[in-house]
Amino acid sequence: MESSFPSGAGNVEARRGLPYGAPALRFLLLCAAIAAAAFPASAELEVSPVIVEVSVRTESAASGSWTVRNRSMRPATAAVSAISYTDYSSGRRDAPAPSWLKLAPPSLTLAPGEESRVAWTILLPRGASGESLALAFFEEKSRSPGTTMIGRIGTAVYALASGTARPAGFVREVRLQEDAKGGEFLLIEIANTGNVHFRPTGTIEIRSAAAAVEATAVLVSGGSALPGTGTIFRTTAFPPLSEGRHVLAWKITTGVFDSAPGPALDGDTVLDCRRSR
Amino acid sequence: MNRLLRSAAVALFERAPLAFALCALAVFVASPAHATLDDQESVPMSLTVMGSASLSIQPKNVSNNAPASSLAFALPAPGETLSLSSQYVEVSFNTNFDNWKIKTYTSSGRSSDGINYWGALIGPDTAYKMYLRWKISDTVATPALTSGNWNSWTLYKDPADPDWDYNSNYLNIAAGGAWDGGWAQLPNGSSCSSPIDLYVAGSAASLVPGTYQNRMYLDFIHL
Repeated sequence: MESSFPSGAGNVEARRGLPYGAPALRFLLLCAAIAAAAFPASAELEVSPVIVEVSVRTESAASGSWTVRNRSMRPATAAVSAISYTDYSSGRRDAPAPSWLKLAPPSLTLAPGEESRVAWTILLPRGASGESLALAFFEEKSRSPGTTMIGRIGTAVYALASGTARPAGFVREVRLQEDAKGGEFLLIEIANTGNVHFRPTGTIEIRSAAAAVEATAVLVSGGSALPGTGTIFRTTAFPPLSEGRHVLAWKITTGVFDSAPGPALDGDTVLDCRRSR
Repeated sequence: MNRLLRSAAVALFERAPLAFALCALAVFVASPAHATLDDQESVPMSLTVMGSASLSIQPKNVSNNAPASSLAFALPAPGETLSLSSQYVEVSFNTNFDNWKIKTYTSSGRSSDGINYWGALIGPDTAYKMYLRWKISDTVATPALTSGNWNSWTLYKDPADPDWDYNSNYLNIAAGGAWDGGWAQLPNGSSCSSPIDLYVAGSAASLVPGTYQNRMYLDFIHL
């Protein structure tokens, strides 16, 4: 976003030291002020897929592509770039693309309704171990100079060095929450202590002190637990639990890695429900 | 199709033509994305691809909701420090993936000095900044902007800020998933649907004439 006092029709050149009290001038200053540079109506870009998960031997290339479509009524140019997730989340926005991921072409010009492909090639170096994660961004290139408001679709590329996966994790915390519809659900924090991401799925059985099953909640699928992080997942909702002591027992799977099942994160805990009156 | 797959396909065709036909159909149907194996050797590889998404952003005038080409701020009036942008940003999004977030932040390109904050429009003299905040809404309704509710607006964060945290709620304007019939919610937990509207306001005690700038991003992230 840019603010400027450019010259030209409809703009005002503001100078230091002008008498602010002059009514006409004050009006002009108030109106012209900090005008952001244009960011024109964006095209609607559609990108598929948004997740790429690859297991590949080191020093052997794997390739694939995204489909990019211009869903708008005007031409659009899409710029494509990649950044490691570590650099991106750390804010190193201008870091170079990861060396193990190549994208081509770096930009596409699409007519209304047109689609094309952007190819990816993954080549992990000798000795690579575990998983590398990058984000590939697709943004519409601005047609105006100085445009700095940018909308982008970010897609994840997970590249696992085949045979080196060490999935591991545990359930760190379980919390009971109320939802907006009067029901309750669980928030489960899962710590990933391995070297590869997983998408946990499973169920949590909730029993009362009398050992009756009060609810069975399903862990919502799709979320990614990244290595070295604790990630909070939620379950489906269930009717409010009775007061008192409950036992929560979960069976959670982590997926398949190099054709082998990952660890199960089974466990249980005690939940004491007390409702304020 | 590389040499190894071709050889395997020929062998299968000769021995079990029907199985060959079914395999060929399965490969065609099950491969929504294109992928290839290395031509040099048999490479154990697995590939999983998921989801599709679309995004468009459109500034619109707060006054009449007409499309606009820019965001503009009026200088705060004498004695005032707050200024609402004359435009909001309509964010239209769609995805069928189970886990997504839309994040907004500035990107000044600076390195953190551990002291200064850069979620702002920055003048040529960096001592002059218009600090930015945002509000997100599921409906077109200009949020109130007063000194009393300024703290209810969310700070714009910049990677050069001393407390930059990519996972903080300062960056998240919406999140959602495709499960349970599809859901999306704003930071306050209320549900929303596309499009959502991003309002931006600035605070400046005093500004001198000049060009104020920063890069601002709306990232539609899938992990």
